[in-house]
Amino acid sequence: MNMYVISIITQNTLNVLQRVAGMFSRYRINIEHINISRHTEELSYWNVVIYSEDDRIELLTKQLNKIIELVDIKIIDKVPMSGQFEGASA
Amino acid sequence: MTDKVGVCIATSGPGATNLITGIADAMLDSIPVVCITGQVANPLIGTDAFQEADIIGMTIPITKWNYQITDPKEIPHILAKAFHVAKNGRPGPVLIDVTKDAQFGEFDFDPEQLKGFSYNTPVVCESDLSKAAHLINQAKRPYILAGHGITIANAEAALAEFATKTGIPVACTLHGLSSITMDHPLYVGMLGMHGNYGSNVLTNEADLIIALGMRFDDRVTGNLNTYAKNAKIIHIDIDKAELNKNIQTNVAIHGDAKEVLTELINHVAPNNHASWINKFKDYYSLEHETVMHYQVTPQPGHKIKMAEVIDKLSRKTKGNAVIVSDVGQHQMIAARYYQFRNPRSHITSGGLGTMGFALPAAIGAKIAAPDREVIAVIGDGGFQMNIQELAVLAQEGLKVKILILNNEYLGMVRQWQELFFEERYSFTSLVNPDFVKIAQAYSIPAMRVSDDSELNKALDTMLDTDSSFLLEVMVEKQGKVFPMVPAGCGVGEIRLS
Ligand SMILES: Cc1ncc(C[n+]2csc(CCOP(=O)(O)OP(=O)(O)O)c2C)c(N)n1
Repeated sequence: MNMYVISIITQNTLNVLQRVAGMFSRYRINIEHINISRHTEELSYWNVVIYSEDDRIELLTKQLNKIIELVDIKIIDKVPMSGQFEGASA
Repeated sequence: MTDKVGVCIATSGPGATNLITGIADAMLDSIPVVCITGQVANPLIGTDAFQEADIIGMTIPITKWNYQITDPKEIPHILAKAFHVAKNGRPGPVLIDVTKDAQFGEFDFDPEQLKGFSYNTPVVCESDLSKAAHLINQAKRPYILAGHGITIANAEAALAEFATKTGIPVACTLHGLSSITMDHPLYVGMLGMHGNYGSNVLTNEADLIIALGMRFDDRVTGNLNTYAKNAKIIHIDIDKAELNKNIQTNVAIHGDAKEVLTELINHVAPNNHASWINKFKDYYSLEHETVMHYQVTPQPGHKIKMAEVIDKLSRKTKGNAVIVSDVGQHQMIAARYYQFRNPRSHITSGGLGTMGFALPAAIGAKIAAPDREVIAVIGDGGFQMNIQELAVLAQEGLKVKILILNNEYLGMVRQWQELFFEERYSFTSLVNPDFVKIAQAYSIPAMRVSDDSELNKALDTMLDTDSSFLLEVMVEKQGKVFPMVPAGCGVGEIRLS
């Protein structure tokens, strides 16, 4: 189990939050922290913190990349967690 | 059937929600379709207005993209984008919801609004091609697994050329069927749970797997922990998210199947793998003796078997028909026993396994390819799931042939209940209406056969009739589809009985 900090840039549109958040829940990844702010009129910047594993994150990132409104996604930090955090997310 | 984008239109609320299963089906099977739904007028949204449904929210997980239009000026640009998204890359469904006020609004159309969409297939890097070619040239027991991507990319000729040059055997997934003619000397069968014996077992002996436009679906791989452990893997797919998803690859190429194969042909050395191919032939003989021969040969005093019907149909149509199957035993039998000879000849619901698919899909296939013989093969269970589409058939005067293989059971589920649930049959036996009368009520000529001696004539009548036709064949009630890889087992554990 690792903690990941993910940075996402999306278009600033009506359904993009549901679309992106829905992908996390489809992969049963709980969002621990999320911050979305308008960057320009067109773009939103996201900061998301989750707990998961590398293979899961790789698949999630690839699936997120297919969202038409998603402009960019990067894992900006990964922190290995000790046992006490096991099960922090499903 | 074609590589054009399909379009469907539904009214708001219940019309829109009725599309959901079809959209999910198109999503899993990579079918390009633009769905246009009506929506209540913008000022009414969120008021629980008559026939209001949040179809955008509902279809987010099952569309490539969806969008709600509230301003008529957006219509040209958004619809152009919808077609662009549905068709390019890995195809899939797009839904555009148009509010009533936008539908009735007016705007000045400028053709410029349709522009701005171009698509380039992913660029394949030379080093990946040479790595792949190196593995292919070194391999002793290489094996091509061809999927739906071959058809989608129109790569049938490239596949045949590549296989012929390298002498590598080709197996197809359910959706890969008909991407290579089954007469091809290198075609070795279908993969998966009810695929051919050798094509499954030998996956575990291959030293190289070249997966083309397929996604290592669980129905193909069985238990991943024992799948293809002796093989290096080259995986070519247009969807990056499929690469290294279920199977770790040695070379993953993100690209269009036709373009990659066309490039790869120039990188590989001519070869042949006669003794490796003989292994497939040996397994085929075993499967033929123990399963196929028995299934297609009439037994005096016994009921007609599904395989016998499909085998006869295949011979009578010389493998040239378009077979559109529903979901269940008849689907697997149609896939196993029809000898496909032309591209784009096998249409079925693979990923979602949607019963009720075949009748409307056959209607679509006939409209897309009016000159081809389109035959829907349907079980008695699935037929009633969309039986109302007979009305479309009658109304449009389409010459679709319907072959009902009636075993008076939800056969595939009954098979599982017999094999894995100690014959505790639960809600799988069916009391059916008179399908012949139903067809006749729609003015569709129809007949029923139960006796082997009448089967040939009945099939001829169906094929010779110059209109739509429904033929109901009463088949063996408790037949089973074999070979079978039981759920959770490895492909090597495939059972012949
Ligand atoms: C809409 C839908 N409901 C349920 C299923 C599960 N299911 C898969 S095969 C099958 C039985 C199909 O019976 P039938 O249409 O008579 O065909 P057969 O297997 O007898 O050839 C069922 C219920 C499904 N695939 N789709």
